[in-house]
Amino acid sequence: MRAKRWQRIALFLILLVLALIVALPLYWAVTIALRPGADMFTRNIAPSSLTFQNFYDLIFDRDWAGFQGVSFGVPLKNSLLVAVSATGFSIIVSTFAGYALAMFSFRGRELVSSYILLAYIFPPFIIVVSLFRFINLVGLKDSLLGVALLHLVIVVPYCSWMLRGYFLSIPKSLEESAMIDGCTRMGALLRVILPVSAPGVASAAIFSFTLSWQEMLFSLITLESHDKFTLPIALLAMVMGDLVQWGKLMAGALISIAPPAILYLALQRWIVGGLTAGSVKR
Amino acid sequence: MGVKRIIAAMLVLALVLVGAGPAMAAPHTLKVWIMTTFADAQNNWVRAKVEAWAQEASVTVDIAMLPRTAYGEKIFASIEARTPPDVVLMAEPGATLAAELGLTIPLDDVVEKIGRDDFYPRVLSAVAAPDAVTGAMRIWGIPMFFEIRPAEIRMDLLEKAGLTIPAKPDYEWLFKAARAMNDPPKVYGLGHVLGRSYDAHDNTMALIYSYGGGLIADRGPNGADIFNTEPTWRAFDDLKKLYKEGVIPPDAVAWGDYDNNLALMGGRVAITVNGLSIYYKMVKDKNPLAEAVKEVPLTGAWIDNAGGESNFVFKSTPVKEQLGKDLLAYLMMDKEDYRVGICENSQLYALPVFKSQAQVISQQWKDGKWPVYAIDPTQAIETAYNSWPTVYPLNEATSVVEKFMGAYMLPEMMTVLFTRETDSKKVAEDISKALNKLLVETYGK
Amino acid sequence: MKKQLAPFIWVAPVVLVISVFMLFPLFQALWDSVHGGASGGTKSYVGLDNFKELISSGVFLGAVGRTLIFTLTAVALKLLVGGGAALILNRAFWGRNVLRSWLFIPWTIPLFAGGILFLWLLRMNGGLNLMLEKLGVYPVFWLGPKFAMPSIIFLNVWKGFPFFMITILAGLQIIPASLYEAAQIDGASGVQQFRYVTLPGLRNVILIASLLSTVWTFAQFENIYVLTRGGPGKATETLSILIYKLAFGTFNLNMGSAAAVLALPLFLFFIFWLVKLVRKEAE
Repeated sequence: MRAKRWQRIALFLILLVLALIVALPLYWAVTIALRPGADMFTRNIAPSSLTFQNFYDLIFDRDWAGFQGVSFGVPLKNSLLVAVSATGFSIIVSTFAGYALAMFSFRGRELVSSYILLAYIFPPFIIVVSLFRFINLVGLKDSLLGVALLHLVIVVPYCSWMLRGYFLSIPKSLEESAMIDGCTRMGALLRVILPVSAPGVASAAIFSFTLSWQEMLFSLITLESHDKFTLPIALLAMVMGDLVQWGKLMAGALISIAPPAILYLALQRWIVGGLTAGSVKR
Repeated sequence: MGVKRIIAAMLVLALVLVGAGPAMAAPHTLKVWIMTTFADAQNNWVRAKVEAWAQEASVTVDIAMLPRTAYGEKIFASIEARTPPDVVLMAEPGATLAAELGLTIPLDDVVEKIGRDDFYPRVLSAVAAPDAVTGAMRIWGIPMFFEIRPAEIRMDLLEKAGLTIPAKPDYEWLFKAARAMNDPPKVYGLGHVLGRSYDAHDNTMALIYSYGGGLIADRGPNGADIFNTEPTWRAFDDLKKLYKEGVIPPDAVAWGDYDNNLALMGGRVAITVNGLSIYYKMVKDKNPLAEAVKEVPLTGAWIDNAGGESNFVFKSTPVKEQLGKDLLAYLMMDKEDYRVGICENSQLYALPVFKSQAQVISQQWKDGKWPVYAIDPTQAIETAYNSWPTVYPLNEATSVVEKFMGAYMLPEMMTVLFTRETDSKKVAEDISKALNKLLVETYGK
Repeated sequence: MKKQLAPFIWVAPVVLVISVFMLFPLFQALWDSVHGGASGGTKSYVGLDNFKELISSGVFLGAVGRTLIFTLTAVALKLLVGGGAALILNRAFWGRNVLRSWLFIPWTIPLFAGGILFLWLLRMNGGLNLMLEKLGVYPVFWLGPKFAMPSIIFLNVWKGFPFFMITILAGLQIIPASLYEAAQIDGASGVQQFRYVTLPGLRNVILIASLLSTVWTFAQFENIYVLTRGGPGKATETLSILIYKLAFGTFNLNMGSAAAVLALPLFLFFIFWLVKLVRKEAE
């Protein structure tokens, strides 16, 4: 019995060490971002005092990019715009596709499902060169619309696959009873099925949002000018400059971490269900 | 019912896809790229100038400010995809390649308009190349400024090591001083960048040139054999030794263009060789070490970017081409404004390409305005090597060195000297072979 | 007639998007890979020259090797750490929910931001070395030739283990308690219970999570690009980095496409395995 108790404490300690390792980079990011400028070249682990100057400079000084003009709010806004529009579009088309694949029986259903699954796990870097050509061809380089379109490559298959899984878990009888009541298929989906599957749709939307939010490769090949940058490219531009300002860089990183982290932690219960629904059935 | 809605939604998507592209590129908008330097004052000046010109000429301009290091990838990719901008300002690589491919227009008339006689001849020769069709020498870019690369030395540490700056400091002396000042891991003697960066290319080439070596001798298939000779081996061996002894910090193999700056500013290295960007930044940040740093030009190893930072115009429509030329002339017509905006604003990181303005700077130095310079900065203009796109001993601009440098081939290929202790001769041979391959690809057999 | 067409119209937008942005570019890549010429110049048909060069110069196989090392090590570690954390978290103890939420945080951090965080942490005079210095340890060159690969694996595991933790935790909760009771009645020890009840119950969860993670890790670009850009030298040049570098770093789109086409079979191998397993599990 006593050995069991020791065992338990040991296991708890292992978990605690893991928690500390998780904390390590975050500790540095927060303390560097809150450190006053003069403190940067001292080799202290703890800052001498705390200030929000870096955050303030990033937004109001407008020189993170090496010239006066673009506030860090601009990449933040751009990332939001891209993520929201890519997510909005893909949720709409994926709801229809996912529903059809889960509820209708038709020839080629399995084929389409596999096609979507293949697209879901396809690594974007294989086609990045061709997509660069494509975006140049249609004249959408250096535009947020271009980035949002490319993000569909990632987001649409993901949403469709996940929603298909979710709709599969809804009893078919629900749709049937709705249709007996005189609904069309579309009516059944909109009036009966969607309200019950709101959690599934919402978590698919949140995941799509974060997938688009953290995508870097496509932004890298599409965007050119500072006022079009999304967050990852804006941060990269701060690293690649001749001089890195760590305080502002960490402040920028924390700003880009916040939205998905808050979304996830606030809606954890849903998310965990969604996370497993995508990979594990139900 | 439902089906119709879906079809309508798809039609909208198709319309967006097809319609958005052409609609975005209005015919008379001039697409201007500005490569940002790290001196924000310079960037602000150039952009304000472009905006002022657009207003005066009532032209719509679409300005894109590109980060310094991403610029190389972007300009070459846009040339590959045939979607370049109309005008490029402050460009580093790309001008020569675009000219050799016949994608840009000659700018001789712009030079005349600004005043050919006032330009230093060497700055114009760095951007001159034969026309692909007629074979006549034409000018393909308007050089923006000279960038000089002296050694930044911590005078307090030098004094502590019991050394003074000799009349003609060269690399041999610099290495001796670096060893004397070396006190790792607190302070390393020499902050020589060895990672994927422009600095690693510039500083290593400067060292090789100062040992009497070369990069490309002619445009033939064996033009780069000169690189695989004794001066290169010696330079590689010296760097290898310094790295092994711990005079160059161990992480220098992973350094980028900013890391040596950060190291000097953080007091981690005693010496580095860089443009005056370091000093500019230290003054701006009120870094206490700024007072201890002196800019010391090395004999025989001065290097500058004549023709490196330059402005050029891509071929498009006659109207736009003319507008582009007007803009280029406008930028440099008011030479006083140019001197303040580009040179003085950057703490003389940039030196003027005009003789008249160099004289003003020279007088200012004599009056004690630029104490950080150990000697008159304008003297550098006469004694320096052009770093690129000019190569030695060929002494002409070539796109081969733009590709070589833009792809960071030298730093990438020489890393093995330090990480795997590969033989210097083997590395030099590999690099000269890669260069020869580029020569064949570009100019044929 | 209309009835048969209807389902296809419902799935058409998704199929269209995937085809336009994925299938079509694949064909474009194939076309690109057999054309070549000086960067920036006009391109002509070169047959298999691009592939030959990639193979004979050794850059491609080197990248494949590094990709495999990176992927397999990272996935194994993520499974180990995430699975271990899930097993511990599956017991009831004080502060369990807080700890679970805390350990989940790295998964919510965008890849590029994680890279930026580690860029500071692992620099020569960055966070980790500053801490080691206080302990009297000589600074370690984490992003150097020796440790660059372990460093990017560390970052990948740090960011990715919560995925395993959460899925395995969910899987553990599905295993019926009656199975454990039955095992206890049979006198099975804790280790035996784990071996004969827990592991078989988790089999599918682990398989699918590992395979998904393998594909994602294989496709990893952001972390490596931000942290090391494939360097120093080629120490962390994986396939994704190699393709990006060839296409946009050495200005040769055709060579980049050729490398992508060469990498395709390797990836398809993973995919078919995964698709097969997922479908088998669905039945």
